[in-house]
Amino acid sequence: MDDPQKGAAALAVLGQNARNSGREIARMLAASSFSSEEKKAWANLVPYMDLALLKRFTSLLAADLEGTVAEQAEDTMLLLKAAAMKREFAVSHAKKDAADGIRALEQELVTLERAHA
Amino acid sequence: MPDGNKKRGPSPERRAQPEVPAEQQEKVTDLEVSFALDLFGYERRLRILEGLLDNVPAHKTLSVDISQLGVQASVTKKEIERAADKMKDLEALQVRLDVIIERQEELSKRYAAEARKIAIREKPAADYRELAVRTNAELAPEILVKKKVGRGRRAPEEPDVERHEIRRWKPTAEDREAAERSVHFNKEIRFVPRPSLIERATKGIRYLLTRGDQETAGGMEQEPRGFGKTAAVESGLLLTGKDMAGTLPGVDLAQHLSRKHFSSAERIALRKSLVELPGASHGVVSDFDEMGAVMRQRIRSSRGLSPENRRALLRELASLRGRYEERVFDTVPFNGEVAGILAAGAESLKGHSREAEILGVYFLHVPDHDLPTLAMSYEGAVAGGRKEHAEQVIGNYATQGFLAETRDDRTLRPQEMLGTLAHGAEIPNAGKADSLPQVRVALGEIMDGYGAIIARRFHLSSVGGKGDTQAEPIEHIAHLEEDAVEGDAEDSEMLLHFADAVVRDGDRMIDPLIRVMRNTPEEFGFTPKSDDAIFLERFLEKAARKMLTQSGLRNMRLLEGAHDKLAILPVEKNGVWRAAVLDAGTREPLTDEEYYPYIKTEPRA
Repeated sequence: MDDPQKGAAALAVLGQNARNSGREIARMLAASSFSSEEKKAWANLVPYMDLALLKRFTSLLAADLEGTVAEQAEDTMLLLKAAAMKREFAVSHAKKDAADGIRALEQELVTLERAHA
Repeated sequence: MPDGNKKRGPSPERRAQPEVPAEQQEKVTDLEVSFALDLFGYERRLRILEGLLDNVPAHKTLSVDISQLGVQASVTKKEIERAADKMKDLEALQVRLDVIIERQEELSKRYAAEARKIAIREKPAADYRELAVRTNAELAPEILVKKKVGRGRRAPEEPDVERHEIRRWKPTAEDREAAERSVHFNKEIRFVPRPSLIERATKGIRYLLTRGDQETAGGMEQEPRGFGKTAAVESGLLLTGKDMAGTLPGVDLAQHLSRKHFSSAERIALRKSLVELPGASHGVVSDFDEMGAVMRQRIRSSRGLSPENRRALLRELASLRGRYEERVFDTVPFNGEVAGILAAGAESLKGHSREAEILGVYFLHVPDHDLPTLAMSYEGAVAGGRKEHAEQVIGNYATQGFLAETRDDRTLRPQEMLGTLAHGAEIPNAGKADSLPQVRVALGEIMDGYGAIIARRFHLSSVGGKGDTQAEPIEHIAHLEEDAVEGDAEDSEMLLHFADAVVRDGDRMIDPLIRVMRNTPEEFGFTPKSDDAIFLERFLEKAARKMLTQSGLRNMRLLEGAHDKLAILPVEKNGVWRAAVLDAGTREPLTDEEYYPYIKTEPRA
């Protein structure tokens, strides 16, 4: 660095970015599917991690979060399908009742025609 | 009827019939069939078609629209008769469509796995583009899309129902751009932005609903940001933009969707995606009209009725229709339920974060620079800097940031923490470190263990570059399971073993249980092999998986004879899944004493 001030500013930015990354890891851990005991254990062990371990830990959390969310989305889809099926059954029943009603009406018509004849 | 329009000679059986010139062939608009997708299943449509063969005069034209299969044609009866021989072709086409859908799923999983691997290896952005284009190219020959081709040969008084033809999809430049955007893993955004929840939801909805007899086409009237037509086509979500005057479920759904959970664009996308739910009521009025019209005509034309009786019967018919419509068009409870499910889903996703306001619904913005990149920059910025020093400094800053966001007790011994994680990662010996290097080695092993668990749980090829799933144990389990279910007489000791090792592989684990329930779907009110029965299987699989992981059943062995005697159903109460053990014959709950002879419990490994 030719300019000490510029160099110091650049290092400060790098440090701040690194801190932000650390914050993101904390949030990912909070959002992960690990049990509270496991979260607590990870939180206490992060200070022991070197850069390579921190990077691996980030990948681990990312995969966990991605999978967890996908699983939850699937659960929601199943519930939606169940609701849709319920609705479908209701419509089918309404249709069946209507068909039964029309058949009864036809029977009534036949009876009236016979009586008239 | 893929080739129903082709000119062909008459079949030998029909040669005796006089030929009618094409220009004299009469359109049979009154017999024109519009297959309401949400009312008629595939098999029923075939039966209708077969029934028409016996009733349509040979010289008349019958217009048939088999929307589900993406085929429409106006054909003469003779052609239909020839096409009757092609019924098997229709079935084959249906099977093919199913295969395509499955293949799309498989490819998308592979795509996600590859994208993840590339992301982990930190390949440059060009690789993402290459992957996206390559994957889409792989999908392209298999994707069939429908294109609007006009009204077709319908009478002027017919409703303005658009018709579509089936075409192969070829990726355009726009599609390729969309494919690039669809790659979630890049340096700027590692996680899917909020609209992807909707994309996932709509894709999932579409998959579940179209796998059977749902397939509609059309364009979206208004495309919410991030959810364009191209994206819809890519995900297989083709929506109809029709709004039938508020009679469709989904039309008023937006009113139910809370602003707390969904943005305006999301509400629009969801509403549109739900328009084609099976419970949609469009088509049902015309269906009633079809039945009612015959009856009405019958009443009006009857010569054996007094005017009073005629009026009374017509009033009764109108009343029937009123009651029918009341039931069919009351979509408010349905929409409320759907909105509730969606809101609960969103809330559940948010629930994963104690800082929901930051995470939002599955949204994480990873900083522009990852830690190794920062270390390299730091090394370059410090004159004479060393790599080890730079990594240590950046690591320290990252740890500071991490600690600033967490409030856990820091006085705990690392060995204790390692022990907790080692137990979770199923590596019993990883918790005995007593120096920093040993702690780090143990952490590496623990991460391997968790990586493998996560990979297995979410069906990933690997996590963090390590922890690949091992095929051998799964194959072994499959072998055991198959023998056990088949009741191999040579090994009477063979048991179905729901031990922890099996639990890790969810699909195979639950298979024996599902088989018990799957064999008798009619007892649950489902037609075997119907779409609903298939859904039942899927639902039970999911439920059983939860049940087995949340209840003590995961450590239970089913002994020989259990499949004949027991029916094990997953039951959810207050969010907790339990196993209900029923008598396979009577479906009555069994007492512990009654089913104990068929099971053997084991302590957890």
